[in-house]
Amino acid sequence: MDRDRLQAFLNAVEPDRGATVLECLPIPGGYSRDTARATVQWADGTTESFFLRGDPPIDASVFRSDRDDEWLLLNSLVNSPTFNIPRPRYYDATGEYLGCKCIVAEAIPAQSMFAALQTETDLEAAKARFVDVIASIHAMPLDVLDAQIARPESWRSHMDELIGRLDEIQAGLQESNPVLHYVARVMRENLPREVPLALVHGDVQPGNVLVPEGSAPVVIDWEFSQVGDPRQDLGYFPQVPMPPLLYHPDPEKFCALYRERTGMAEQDLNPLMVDYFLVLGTAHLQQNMLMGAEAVAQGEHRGIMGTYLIIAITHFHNLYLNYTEQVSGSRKASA
Amino acid sequence: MITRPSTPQILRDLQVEVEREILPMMPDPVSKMRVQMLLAVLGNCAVRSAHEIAWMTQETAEIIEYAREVANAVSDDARRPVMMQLDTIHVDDSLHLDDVAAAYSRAGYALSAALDAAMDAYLNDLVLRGEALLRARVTREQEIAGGSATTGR
Repeated sequence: MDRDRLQAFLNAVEPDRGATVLECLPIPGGYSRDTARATVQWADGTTESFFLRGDPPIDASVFRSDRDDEWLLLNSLVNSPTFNIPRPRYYDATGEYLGCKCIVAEAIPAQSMFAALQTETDLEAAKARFVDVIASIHAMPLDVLDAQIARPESWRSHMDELIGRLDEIQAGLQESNPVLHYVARVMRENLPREVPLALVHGDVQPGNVLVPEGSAPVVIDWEFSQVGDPRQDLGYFPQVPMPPLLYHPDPEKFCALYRERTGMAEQDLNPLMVDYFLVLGTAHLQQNMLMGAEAVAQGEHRGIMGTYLIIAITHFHNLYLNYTEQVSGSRKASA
Repeated sequence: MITRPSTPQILRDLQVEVEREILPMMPDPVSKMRVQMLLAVLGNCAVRSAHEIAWMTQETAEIIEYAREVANAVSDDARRPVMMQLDTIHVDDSLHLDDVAAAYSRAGYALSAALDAAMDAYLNDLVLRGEALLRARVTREQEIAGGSATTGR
């Protein structure tokens, strides 16, 4: 994903436009995909900025997701009537040119909502804007999605699959994990009421929302997206540790804003429900991280992430137990 | 064997060296971030290496005691899976890390089986004790992580 590779790629996909790649620089800090920002000048004198998003080498990464699926999804989401994404422009589906499967999308000249929050003085207003973004994702009509994009047969089958992931994780490990075993049981015993399936972002956080001046927010980073229970996103977000926190210290306020935007009932969305979905909304991350650690234990290398993310595994164990302890509160009371 | 500095002290010293001498020399932000992650891992290893054998040995003993109590409190049918897991735990005098870790892992399966049995039988006190063992385990994990949470873009 460097300048020369991008030049060769654009020569191949836009042979008549005379592209000159002025720069192509890696962006640090992501856990999952390798990313770069590029500026390109065309023969007619115009310039464009692009954002490149590719797969890191297997032996230098932990998180697994499918670029083919993401490309298909982005080409559907660009037609969403409820939110904006950066327009996907090119895809090196084989890695022949860019060295890895890589999506090239238009770069949006805007800071992220996370960056904007660092100087925000009205956090309540910012919280409301962020909830609006989440609600706009969940409001997208599912018929916008390409027919090839997987949809669960039913809400119940989806929930079984999500909780089953906790069993899958344990089956893939060479050691016991009594925390996950117990959490999976508690999840099954406390299955919530059904709500309509919706588009789930899978990594919803202010860092994945761009806020261009004078126009609507733009949502990025869709690699973990799926059709599922919208509360997965509500559960995912509170564990994101970067300040300023929008969910804490007033979880009920956050839930009330979401209910107001979507009409969801209080018994279907409240802080305890968010904690329930924290487990299910992050299980895919936990799975990737534990498999990364297991790979290291088997002598494989997964880059610094393979060992660094053990910190996150323990962090999630703690959050998961926090949920089960709330559920078992009544047990304590009767003991 | 040289015991001073100890393994945790060596690891902490490596942290200092990388932080002071190597990190500032790195102009590339991607590499810099990787080194910062590496420093965090070294810090965790320092805590683990000082205590992990003692911690695992102690927790294994506590789980065995708990699982036996559950086994004695439930029906014959419910006892069977707990005893089956308990029978796989081979605690001997070996303090080699691999041996201690293997016993600890098997104890984890026994804890799951025992907690399941206690929940199935609605043995409230024993369920609470099982939950407390899980909490103690996670508290240790957090101690190793030094209270740090990962951050990213």
